[in-house]
Amino acid sequence: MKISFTIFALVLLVDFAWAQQSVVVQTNSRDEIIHLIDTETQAIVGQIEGVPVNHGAAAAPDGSELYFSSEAKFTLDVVNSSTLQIEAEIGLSGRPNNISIGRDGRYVYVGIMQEPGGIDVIDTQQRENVHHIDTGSRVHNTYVTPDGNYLVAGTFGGDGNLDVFSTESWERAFRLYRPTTDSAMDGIRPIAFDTNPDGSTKNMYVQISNLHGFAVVDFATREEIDRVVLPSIPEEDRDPPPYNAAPAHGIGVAPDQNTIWVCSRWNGTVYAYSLPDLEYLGGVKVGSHPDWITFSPNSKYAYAANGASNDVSVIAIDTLEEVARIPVGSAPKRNITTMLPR
Amino acid sequence: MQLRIFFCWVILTFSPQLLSAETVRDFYEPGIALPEGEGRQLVLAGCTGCHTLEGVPAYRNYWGYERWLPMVENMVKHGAELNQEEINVVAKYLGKYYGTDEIKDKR
Repeated sequence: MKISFTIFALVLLVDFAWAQQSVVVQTNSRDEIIHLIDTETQAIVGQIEGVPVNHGAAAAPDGSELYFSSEAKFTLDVVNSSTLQIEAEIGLSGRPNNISIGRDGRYVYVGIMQEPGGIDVIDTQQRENVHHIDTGSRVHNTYVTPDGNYLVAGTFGGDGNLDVFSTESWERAFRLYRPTTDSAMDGIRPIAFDTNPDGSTKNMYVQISNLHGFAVVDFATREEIDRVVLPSIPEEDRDPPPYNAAPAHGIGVAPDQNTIWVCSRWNGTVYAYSLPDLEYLGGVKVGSHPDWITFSPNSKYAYAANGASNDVSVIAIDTLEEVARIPVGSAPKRNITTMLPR
Repeated sequence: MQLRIFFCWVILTFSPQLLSAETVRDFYEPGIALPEGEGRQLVLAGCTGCHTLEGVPAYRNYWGYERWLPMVENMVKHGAELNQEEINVVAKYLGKYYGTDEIKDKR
């Protein structure tokens, strides 16, 4: 009886795993198309069309829907993951940038870059724009912390460019990093997170305008505890500009939380550091202007979107080698990894 | 005589740069062929100091003057050197040739 149950459970498990496919969702910021890359075969297995100047991407927890912000349409587009067709275009309060989704999938948080900025809150069940969080700043990227308790925004302008809100009340919890200059480009860029053993947020790894590296912020104490500068190379060997005041843009913690990976636009290189010690592990030369990074769920591969060479570098995490380069659309930037139904 | 030769040298040396922003060193190649029209030179001079124009055509069927205007104003905050009148001209050019305004005019 026990053996039969075990076999039944195993069959269910295998069936469930087979029914889902792990993909990298790769946006293309100067294009109308989005690519899906299989993390087993490293091949493009799908294409979503009709989202011009697509910026942010998010996936429903069950993989049934994908969400994309369109800077050209001023919309959040809802895409059916099975048909890869747009099912809804939800109007936004201004030109959007990046997006994130809560752990239960109920709300998508859309950063609004056009003044006066803020965050639009989209109810995925009603498919409506139901709330606006006034940040007093232009919002570049939004994140939901791994425990689902906080909404974090990296912004420009305003009184604090790392702005943290409760996902329960949408009230501000705290904010850090006052702008240090009058420059419109002065602000907080991509952010990555790791967690404590109980699942709560441990550190935020924060990219800051004009810093070729990242800051480490202790989430509990709300203090910067470290700052890491990436290796330097001679100026003549750098990738050509523009860098848009972000010499390092794109950062991610691998799912196993053993490593953190950082994109350098200056050097056309992705750098790896160990966690939690932040020991330098090495750099991997990739395409031009690596801009964003995501990972296969098994932490075997990292995927760097190369904004200027229009491709995605697949990096073997164990060996720190580029093992494939996949041509995609024009100016690939944000990417995420998700499980989709086969 | 020597003064006249000096002025000739100055004009011959610097006139191409003064005439067209496209030839000024340190400006980006636009990356797209901009149609002739009022505002073309302002777009070249005002925008390519910081970036190429390869991203512009992606907005072709979506943005009119009303949406280009705040974008150009934002670019001025990022360092584009355009006065208010020039901002309007650039937004109108982009709305017409890289937006929906030409389509609206034909209706």
